[in-house]
Amino acid sequence: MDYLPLIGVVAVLVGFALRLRVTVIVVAAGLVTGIVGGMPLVGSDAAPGIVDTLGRAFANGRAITLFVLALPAIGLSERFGLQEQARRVIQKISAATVGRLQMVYQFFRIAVVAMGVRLGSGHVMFSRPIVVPMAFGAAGLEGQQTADSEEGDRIKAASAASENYANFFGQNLFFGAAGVALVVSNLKQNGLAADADPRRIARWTIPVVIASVVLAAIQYGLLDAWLRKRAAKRKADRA
Amino acid sequence: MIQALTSLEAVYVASGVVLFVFAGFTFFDRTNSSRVGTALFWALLGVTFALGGVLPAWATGTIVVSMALVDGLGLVKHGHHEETSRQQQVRTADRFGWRIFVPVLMIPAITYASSALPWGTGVSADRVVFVSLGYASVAAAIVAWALTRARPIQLVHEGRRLADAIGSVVILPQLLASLGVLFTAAGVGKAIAKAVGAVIPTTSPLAVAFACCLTIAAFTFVMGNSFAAFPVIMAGLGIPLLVQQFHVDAAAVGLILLTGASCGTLCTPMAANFNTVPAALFEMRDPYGVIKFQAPFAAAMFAVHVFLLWVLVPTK
Repeated sequence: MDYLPLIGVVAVLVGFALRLRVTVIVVAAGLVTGIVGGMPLVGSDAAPGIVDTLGRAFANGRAITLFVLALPAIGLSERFGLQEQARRVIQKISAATVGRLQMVYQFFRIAVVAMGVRLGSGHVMFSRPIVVPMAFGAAGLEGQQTADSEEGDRIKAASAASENYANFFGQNLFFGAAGVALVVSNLKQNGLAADADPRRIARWTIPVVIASVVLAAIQYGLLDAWLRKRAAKRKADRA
Repeated sequence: MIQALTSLEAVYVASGVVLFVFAGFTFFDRTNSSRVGTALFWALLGVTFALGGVLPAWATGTIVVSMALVDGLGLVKHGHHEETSRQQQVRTADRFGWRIFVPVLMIPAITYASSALPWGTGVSADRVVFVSLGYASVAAAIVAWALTRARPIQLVHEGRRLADAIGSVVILPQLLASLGVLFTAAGVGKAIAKAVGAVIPTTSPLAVAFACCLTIAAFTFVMGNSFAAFPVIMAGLGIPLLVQQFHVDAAAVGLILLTGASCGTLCTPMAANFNTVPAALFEMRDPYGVIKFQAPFAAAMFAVHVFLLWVLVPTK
């Protein structure tokens, strides 16, 4: 009986399996969990209900979606060359190896997300048009033939990962970030308003982002070593 | 008056107004095959923003459920927006150069600068930050307009172009966070706490740090997003055990658990946008190639998070 509320998690899995809209899955999972947990549909001051808990949380979480206010400024800047200019910055990167290129891109992306600048999907904007071709160039694999190889796949995976590593572990460096807003509203709801300082919360991202950069550097170093070995082997096979 | 204009509600009302304007233009957008449904969605979101502070909770909740219904019925679509050609982009980039970064970079600059000012003890820190962020966004719009000498209406068009591109997913982080709160109220946090308590010794800081990181990463793996997992694990484990029992700084616990959840995001196909969509976009042979590459990194980052929480437990 105690574990029954976990059924909401099952509801989420079923919803995804049925390919329902995510918004519908979320609301349905909330309803199922609330009902199983013995909550009324609409509650009172003494016993909170499902719909009012959802509404109160949504109103308290408005800071998370505050970025809609920045959409006109970002949209207009994009129209007048923001993305093109950002691409030019990345294209100035010169890196001798795939691993070093990923590292430089990761630093660039951390700098962008740390300023709270939202430019849509980095994979669409930068990785696919710029980072992947540059990485293939650095690996000496420009040809179509080698693009469809194990090396090619690994290089592409690294190019997707460098974007994710920077985005996930760097974005909360900006104390206006959605994640920081989530922590703030959570601490307030749990009676810890004195600790709900966005600046103090964001500061704890620093050790996390340093660790992410160090670990990524190790992984990219291993990737470079692996690529060198493969290249040497291919050369030996040809000889 | 100044008090009201510098309140969080003021920037939420401003956001609501922007959303209403988006809704209004969407309603008359003949290129959108579902202009009424889409306009309704943006208007409902606008109501929760503008009136979220005064509406009774059940009313806001009903609106949230309605937004999910409108979206679930497939009524949120996007119109056709004039895209800039590559040549146009190159031309404008040549013309404005680095100056085009100014409006966008103003947002963090103003937010940081304003948050560094002494606002007095009566003003909560989150109010300072998010109100600054709100006004900085408005200022950035004005500067972008002045810089580009575009017609003011273009701010609306371009903002709406981005809003359309994002679509109903725009509410997802906030909605998931609300789901997490509802889960917590329904006892999911307690259920997880009980299960964890049955398996690990809750008097051991290392075991607790490990359990917190593992449950939030696992929960995130299943949901594909950390925002629903976070309130549940905070209420079930993070606050009662790490904050109250072991006296770890609550701000640290919150942030570290949130990024710890990302270790789950790196490994899950449920986070399609980050893991499987790029694999398709880069035309990879292995659709799970990105996840496979990220998994060892995620495991190492996981260990870092456990370690960080563990060392933050004050020694007696």
